[in-house]
Parts: sequence; C-alpha cells; structure tokens
Amino acid sequence: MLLLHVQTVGSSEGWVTLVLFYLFAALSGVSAWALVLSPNIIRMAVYLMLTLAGVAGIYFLLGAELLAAVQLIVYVGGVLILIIFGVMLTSRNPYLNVAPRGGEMALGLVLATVLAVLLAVAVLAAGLPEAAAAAPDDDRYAVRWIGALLLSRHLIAFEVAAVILLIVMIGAGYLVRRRIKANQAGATEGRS
Amino acid sequence: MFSAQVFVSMLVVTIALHVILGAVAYSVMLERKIASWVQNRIGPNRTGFDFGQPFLPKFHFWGLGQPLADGLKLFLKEDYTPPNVDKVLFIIAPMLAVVPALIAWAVIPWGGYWDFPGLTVFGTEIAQPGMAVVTVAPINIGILYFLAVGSLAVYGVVIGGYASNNKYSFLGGLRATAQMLSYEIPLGVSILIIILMFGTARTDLIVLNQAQGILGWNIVWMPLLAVIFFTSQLAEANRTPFDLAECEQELVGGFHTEYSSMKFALYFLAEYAHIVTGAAFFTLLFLGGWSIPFYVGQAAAGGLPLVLLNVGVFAFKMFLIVALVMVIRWTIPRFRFDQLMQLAWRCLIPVSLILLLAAAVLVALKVPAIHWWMLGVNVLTFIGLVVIGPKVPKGPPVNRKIPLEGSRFSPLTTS
Repeated sequence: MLLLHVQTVGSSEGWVTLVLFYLFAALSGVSAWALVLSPNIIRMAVYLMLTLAGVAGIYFLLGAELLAAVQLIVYVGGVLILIIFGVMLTSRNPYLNVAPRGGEMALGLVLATVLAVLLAVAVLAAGLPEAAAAAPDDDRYAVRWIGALLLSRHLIAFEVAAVILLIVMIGAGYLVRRRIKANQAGATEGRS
Repeated sequence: MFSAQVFVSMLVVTIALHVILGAVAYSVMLERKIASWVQNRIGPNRTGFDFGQPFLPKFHFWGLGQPLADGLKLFLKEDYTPPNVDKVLFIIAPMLAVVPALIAWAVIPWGGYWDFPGLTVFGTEIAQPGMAVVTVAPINIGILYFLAVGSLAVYGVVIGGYASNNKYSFLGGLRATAQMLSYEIPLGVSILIIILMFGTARTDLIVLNQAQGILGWNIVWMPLLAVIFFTSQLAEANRTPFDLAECEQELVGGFHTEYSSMKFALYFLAEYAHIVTGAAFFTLLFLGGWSIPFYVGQAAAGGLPLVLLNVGVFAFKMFLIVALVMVIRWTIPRFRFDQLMQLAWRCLIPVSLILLLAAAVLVALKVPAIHWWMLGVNVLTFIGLVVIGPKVPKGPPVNRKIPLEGSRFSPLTTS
C-alpha cells in the first residue's frame, strides 16, 4: 500500500533516480576497471565487491528489492570467502602481485569479447518496455510470490542449487580434514 | 511536488542521521559512565562546554562536553599512514566499516504511520498530503535488507586487518570473519522465524502486528528466540564477550592497531553505530517497536504528536537495550575463540533450527492461538537444553595445539 519505489518511478522525483543510477553505474564501472587492472589479489576482491554492490544498488532503483538483497547476501557477502581463499592461496606472501601470462591474457580477451557480443545482442534483442511501463506491480513482486514460485514452478532449479551447495560444503570439509591430518602426520614425523 | 512518502522519507533521513550520530557520540560517554558505575568509580564528569577557553562560562554540565572534546581531539590528531600498508585498502577499509552500520537504519520504522497534512510554502506546494510510514524506505523486503546489509559489516574489519600489514591486525580480521560467518546463521534463522510467524518481511507491519500492549510483543511469546537474536547481535557488533577481533591482551588493538585520527574514529563510530542499529532491530522485532506497554488501544496512524510519541517510545526502548549491552560489556569476560565457535555451532544454531522447524510446522498446520504454541515450544526447548545439555557428549578437544607449519611449537618439517 505504501511503497516508495512505486511513487518514485515515473513521477517528478525521477531526477533523484537518475542521479542515483549514474552514481551506482559509475561505482560499478570504475571498480570493474580497477578490478581488471589491479595486480593484487585482495584488492581485486575488494573491487569486485564494490562492483557487485553497485549492481545491487541498481536493482534497488529498479524496485527489485528482493533481488538486490539476494545480490548483497549471496554475491557481495560471498566475496568475503574469496578474500579468505585469496589469503590462503597466497599464504607464502599475501602481498604477492599476480601478473597474467600472454596466453592467459589472450584467452581472457577472447572470452571477454564473446561475452560482450553476447550481452550486446541480448540487450538489443530484448525490446525493453518504456520506463513507466516497467515499474513493477507491487503485489506481483512481493516476497511471498517469489517464494511460492521457487517452490512450485522452479522447484527443480531450487533443489539443484541446494544439492550443489551441499556438495561444495562436503568437499570443503573433506579438503580441510585431509589437510589437518597431513599436517598432524608431518608434525609427528618432524618430532620423532 | 514531492509525494507524502518521499518527503517524510527525506525528513526522516535528515533527522535520524543527525540524531543518531549524536547519540552514537554520547553512547561512548554512556559506556564510560556505566563502566565507572560498575567499577565503583565516578567516571568522566569534568569536561563542560568551555574547552578551557576563559571567555566561555565555566560549568561542568556533568561532563557532557566529553564526547565533543573527544571528537575534536580525534580530528586534531596526526593521521598517520604507516609506510608498508596497502594504501588504497587502508583508506577504503574504515569507510567499508561505517557505511553498512549507517545504511541499515533505512528500514527502521521509527514512529508508525503519519497522516501527513502536506506542506505549502509561499503558495508553492512542496509536499502533497497523504499517509506515510515514518521510515526512510518502506520497502517490501524490510527485514531481509537488514540481513543483507549486516552481511557487509565484516568487510571493514577484514580489509582493515589485511591492509595494515601487521600480523596482529590480520589475526583480528580473520577472527572477525569466522565469528561473523558463524553468528550470521542464528541471526538469520531467528529473523526467518519472525517472518514465518507474521507472514510479512516489512518492518512496519511486523511492529503493527505486535502493537497490542505488552502482550503483543514477541519477547513475551518467544523469549528463547529473543535471547538467541540478542546474543548473535552482540557477536555481529563485535561486542564483549565476543570482541575477539580487537582483544587487547592478545592482539594489541586487533584490526585497528595501525589506525589513528579520524580513520580510527570511523571504526569507533562503526562499532557504536552497530550497537545502536542492533538495539533498534531488537526493539522492532521483539519489543514491539513504537507500541506503548500496557496500553492496548494505540492508534496506528495519526498526526505529528502521535508520531513524536511513537518515536520517543521507540528511542526509549533502544536506549534500554544499549544500556544493557554496555552493562554486559563490563560484566561478562571475553570468550576464548573455541568457546565462541562452540557456542555458535553447538548451541545457537541447533536451537534456532529447532525453533524454525517448530514455527514452520505450526504455521503450516494453521493452529489457532499460534502465540501460545510458540511460547510452549520456547519453554520446552529451554527445558530440553537444561536437561539434555550437560549430557551431550563433548566434542573433540578443540583447544589443542594444532601444529601449524613453521610455528614456534612445531618447527618446519621440510627436509
């Protein structure tokens, strides 16, 4: 009944949305550039986090609040794990700089070009509706509807995601256990 | 020009930001006062508003000038950046600490609904009349937003610890990571239970559902859940007994060892802002938000006087929670790290999952008087904890020395 975004979009407050959009877009774009150009793995993770947070801000502007919250929890929150892995993988020296080799650079360039072309084609072919028409209907995008859809029409995708997460968890546990055991074995050998 | 909600939102942003930042400054003073009362001292009582200037009236004001003097001092200190830090991250980290603590305030419903009369200045209509929620953003996902923003709070600590290029800071940052990852689970589950019970995630509706005198409040019907939420919130805010990221006896200052001047002040601000935010969310989830205790027929919407009364009630409840958090800091000693992890994984998470399961079953069965059922589940779970808890076999001794490669206790095994 009292929704901010419904009143914000398409009314005289549109310029606020516009300014915020450019703000978030700049945040995403600039930190994405910084991410690609940075040689330090932790800095990359931080820039990635800023990029994803900017995208979450744009979701908020679009009125897709649940998507924005999920973006923040899953992606931006997940960068934390990335940082920890970055620290662990470069445990010899966490301040190490990584430089891509020529082959990696070429592969990355090819992949990025393909992705860019794909995205451009998809965006141009999508035929986006006008801004006013795109303002979401408050009831249809409510949390309860998304929940109901996830557990009815998209149940298989939902369950597959859950199973994949479970597999990842078991795998991580296995790796950690093996490492601790190896460490213990190494330590006793060293002592004897 | 503006619709009622947008105007009220802008008003609330402006007022809430300034009032709360002031309250954060004064909560530092409150903490020092409470510390001194707990330790049978007097506490700060000398600094008035004269700041040593002879032309200003010399009166102590019970030491109320202390936070202002502290802030001034922090501004004037040398902003020192050690030579071998990661400069970019060193500067970004305090910002990353403050921003999540501040933006979580966006969904707090401070004072119910305001029947906004509109605003016209010199014949120009600035805001249209209409009904508005006294909050910054009355968004659909409400309380999920709090979870989403809360998951970002750890970055300031972790990145600050990493960027300092100091092993104590780094250890503090990593400790904070493990701690926040663990305590986010019971926090999220307890919020999920509330969402299940009320069938909405919107903060204003959650409060509205509780606004029936004290008997509508969630803390009466779900006391165990309230304790779980409060404990996890303490851990999320990095407060004693969970402040392992900055424990002075082991890690110098923890993640903020290398920080000085306003960068340190931002960390300090973030810590206290977290307490205030946590208190606000505890108030709205369990203490009925703006609802007045022992008064049933409270109108949900009204003019400015009602809104101000509601805001006052909300703020008073928050104040009580903040004071409780501070008393806890000076009462309970810090946990050891393995105790901290055990508390989360062997107690809070299983118990909160049991409560979630019970709530889901009760909601699915559509039982009448679900509040009484929930109270029963809470009490039964608590009794079960007390009876079964001591009989649960203890896990492996997790506090043993793990032979880390190259540490003093187990030399490198490379041959």
